[in-house]
Parts: sequence; C-alpha cells; structure tokens
Amino acid sequence: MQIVDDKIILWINSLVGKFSVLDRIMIWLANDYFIPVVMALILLGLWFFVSDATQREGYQRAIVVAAISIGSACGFILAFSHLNWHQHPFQEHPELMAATNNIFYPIHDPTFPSNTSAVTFAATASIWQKSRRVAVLLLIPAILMPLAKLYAAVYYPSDIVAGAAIGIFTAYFIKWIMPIFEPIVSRVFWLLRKLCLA
Amino acid sequence: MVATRPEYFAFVFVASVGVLQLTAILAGLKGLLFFRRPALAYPFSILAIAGASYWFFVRSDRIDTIMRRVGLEGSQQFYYFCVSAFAALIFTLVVSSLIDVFRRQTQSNNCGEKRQGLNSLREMSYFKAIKRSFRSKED
Repeated sequence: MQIVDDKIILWINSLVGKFSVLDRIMIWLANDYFIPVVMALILLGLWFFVSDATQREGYQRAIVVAAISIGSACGFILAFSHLNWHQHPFQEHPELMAATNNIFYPIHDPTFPSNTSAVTFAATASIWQKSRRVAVLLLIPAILMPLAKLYAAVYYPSDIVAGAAIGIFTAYFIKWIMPIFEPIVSRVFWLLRKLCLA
Repeated sequence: MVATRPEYFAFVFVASVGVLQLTAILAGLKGLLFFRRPALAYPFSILAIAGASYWFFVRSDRIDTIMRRVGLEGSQQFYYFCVSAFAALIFTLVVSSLIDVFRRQTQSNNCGEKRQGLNSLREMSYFKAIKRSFRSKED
C-alpha cells in the first residue's frame, strides 16, 4: 500500500509549479476555510429552499443527520489518529516540502485517516441518502478538497480513501440510528414549525 | 497573525445573510426579503456573498499569507459557523420584519389557505407569522 501511495503522491506532486493556473486553483481548494464554508452555506440554503413542506422536512432531517455525522466523523478520526500509522508525505519525503509550502502549509494534525475527507464525505453521504441530485452539489467540493490536499502533499491517497470511508460509514450509521431518537426529533421539528423555521 | 475568530464570524455572518436572501427569492419566502423587487434582491445577495468572500480571502493577499498558517481548528470552525449562521438568521428575521412594519404596502393576510410553519413566510413577515402561530390552537 505504501508503495502505491508513494508512486501516486510523487507523480501528482511532480505537477506542482508546472502550471500556475492549476496551482492557484489548488491553493483555493485546499484552503482550510473555502470549501467547508461553501458546503455549509449550501446546507444552510437547502434548509429554506424546498417549497413543499413534506419534501422540505425530509431535507431538513438530512441536514440534521449531516451536522451530527460531521461531529461524529471528527470523533472517529480522533480515535483512529492515535494509532499513528505513518507521517505526512512532506515529512516522509522532504523533497515534497516545497510543494506543500507552495500550495498549503505543513499541518500538525495526524495524517491517517484524513480529517478533511471524513468531514466532506460525511456531509455529502447524509444528503445523498435523501437526494442524489442535490448531493452532487456537495460531492464535487467533497472530492476536490481532499484532491487539492493530495496535490499539496499533505495526505497520502490511502489517508483520503480511509477518511472518506469513515465519513460515509458515519453518515449511514447516524441515519440508521436516528429512528431511536424519533420522539425527540419530532418534538424539535414541531417546535421549529411553531417558530416558523421549519 | 492567523485568520481570527471575529474575521471568520463576520465573513460567515455576511455570507449567510446573502445566502438567506438568495434562498428567500428562489423559494418565494417574501417575508424574509429585505427587498421585494428581484432587481434589488438578487444583486444584494450576490454582493453580500461575493463581497464577504473577497474581504475574507483576497484582500491583502490573505489566501497566500495568513491562510498558509495554522488557523481555526475544524471543531472551532464548526462552532463559529453555527453561531454566526444563527446570528445571520436572527438578523434576517428581525430586519425583514422591521422593514415590513415600515412598509406602507402591507401584505394581504386574508389568503384562503392558512399556511403553517416556514411556508407562512410566503405571505407575511416573521413577526406576523410567529404571532399567528402562537395564537393558533392547532398543532
């Protein structure tokens, strides 16, 4: 696995500095704030967007699942990261440090599994269970941000795949256990409807 | 210097107000709008989103300087986003209702169908909708 990871990361990072437009795009996509805020604003807009009340409640419940999944995925990542599988690509291959500094910065968080892909895929998978068409809006940034961090030699491909798997698993797990909390969720939605917010 | 909490809060607040206005136009939630005319509402919402993003990312080359260092952690970002977006929602509800109070042209409340929940904002301001909601004995 490490050999495949190394081959992919070295090939991708050979592109850094060759195409300035690609570098600029990756700087934006890898940014800590850009994609997370874009995805969160899409979820905020989705809360109010759908006209039909029944359909809208379905989307709003999916957004609640997304919010819980994001938090839970972060918890899972924290638990896994203590295993400390390997270091970041820019640490194991010092020649990649320039690429990391060009596109992003050398992060201190544990590398395996990728926190970025866990969070973005947890949000996307939550909405995917309600509407695949809407989820595509989130899937694009969910793929692009980890890809940009791969380009910046911050994560190995296996870190990203593992993070995405944890994010997706978390979203399906949270959706699966939601019926247990149905009396509370129904009460919350009744209150939100009373407050004209759902 | 890192991307600070007040800056992130302000960015998310203004961008969220823009998103709420844009969504309100598209979903026909007239009670949430600051401007009833789409010719004003669309530019306002797009300007809020684009302006906030420019101010946060682009000014003084922040994306190439300040944002290339450790800033807010993921959990902090999540927390501040929730607080800021909630503040933007409260701001939108209050301002759109106050504008409605001062607007001479009041909406018709005598619609045949009485809408409930968020849909009531299609025909009246938030203050009016919530007043009606709590007067109503229906669940």
